[in-house]
Amino acid sequence: MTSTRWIRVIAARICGAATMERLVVPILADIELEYRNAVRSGRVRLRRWVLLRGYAGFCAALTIHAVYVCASGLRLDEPAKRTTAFSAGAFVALTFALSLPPLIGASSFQRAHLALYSVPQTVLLSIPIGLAFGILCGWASGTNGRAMLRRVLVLGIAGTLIALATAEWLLPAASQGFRATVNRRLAEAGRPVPRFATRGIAERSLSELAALVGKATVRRAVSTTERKSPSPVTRKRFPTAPELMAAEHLQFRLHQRLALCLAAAALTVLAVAVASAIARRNLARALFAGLFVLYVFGWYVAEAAAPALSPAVSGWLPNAGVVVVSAVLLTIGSVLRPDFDRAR
Amino acid sequence: MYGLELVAASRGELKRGTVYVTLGRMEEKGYIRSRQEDAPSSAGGLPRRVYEPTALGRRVCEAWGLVRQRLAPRFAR
Repeated sequence: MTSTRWIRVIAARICGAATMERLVVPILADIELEYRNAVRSGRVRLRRWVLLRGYAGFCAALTIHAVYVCASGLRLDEPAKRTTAFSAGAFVALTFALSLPPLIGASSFQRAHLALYSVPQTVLLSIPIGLAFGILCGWASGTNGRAMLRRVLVLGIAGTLIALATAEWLLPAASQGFRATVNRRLAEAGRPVPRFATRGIAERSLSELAALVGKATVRRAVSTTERKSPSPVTRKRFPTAPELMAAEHLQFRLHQRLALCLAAAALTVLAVAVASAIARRNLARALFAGLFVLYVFGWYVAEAAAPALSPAVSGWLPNAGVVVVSAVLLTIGSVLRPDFDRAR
Repeated sequence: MYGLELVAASRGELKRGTVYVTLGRMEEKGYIRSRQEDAPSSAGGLPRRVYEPTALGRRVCEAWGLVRQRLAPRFAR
């Protein structure tokens, strides 16, 4: 029989008693019941499907419950206000700094356009870094309990929603406008203007990228085995190696952009996991800062490893690493910090 | 009924990810009540939760059914 004990241990570190009783335990009980029935039927694929479906529903339920808890009135105490203020300040400062380079040397009229177009392009990076900075600065003494979850949860959810909205609606339009403005500047300066027949990856929304990926049926073509010895179907769809590489690159960028949108959520989980395991404030801060640096480094590693791995794996590698580390810390924390529930 | 039974009986209208969140909110409002059954005899089994409507919940459900009946022809126009 499948054991959901490890999920219960991790969930108990994050969720309150009422949530455990009304939400977590009933869902896990259903998973165990369905798994028992699948085992009795003797079908291996059914067992796997039951587990996959059950855990997906569990994650969805926790996410919806988290949004509901935030929406139904969260009291912001002093540490929460501090975390929010530092996150917002870091977000604004970083967005400004990252948007600055294209404005240098531009006329005042062009500067306004370029600023308008370059800001959305920096948002996806500014949100997770600003959130991490805010968590570090707002990590005050005596606030290393589960109450910390409520403080960072709102920021994590808000950051994720803003990132998704930016990637879907603002980023493509801003990238296209930025490209047109830069081309106009080049033409005014008498320099050759690059000619782009179609919009590039940066000028497409998440849903457009997903549709392109679906059209190219890249899913069937980009496993490592397929790349080494393509099947007749793959050879027919992508007769040349550059076409296959372009299709792989497209899928990698889609997964990478989606993973970047969820970076705020991943950092929220990491912050709670670190608080769950480490009682001492400065040690927790140092550990979180170190893990954040590793997380940023992980994005570069994933980009470099993209040709050797499947696009989905390399795109989601940094976030998957954060989830694994968080799960380990939450499990360790149940032994190291049994007082996590009562700490404020 | 159990949550899983509600999902099966709804023929796909209720999802696993939302059913227990919705049931929790309905219980907060007093439309349903729940009780936890004893854990099954198999080792490590978790207790399941059974849900049933309250009198208030039944009245709200009837009122909602009447409202739907009256509004449906108007929306159809």
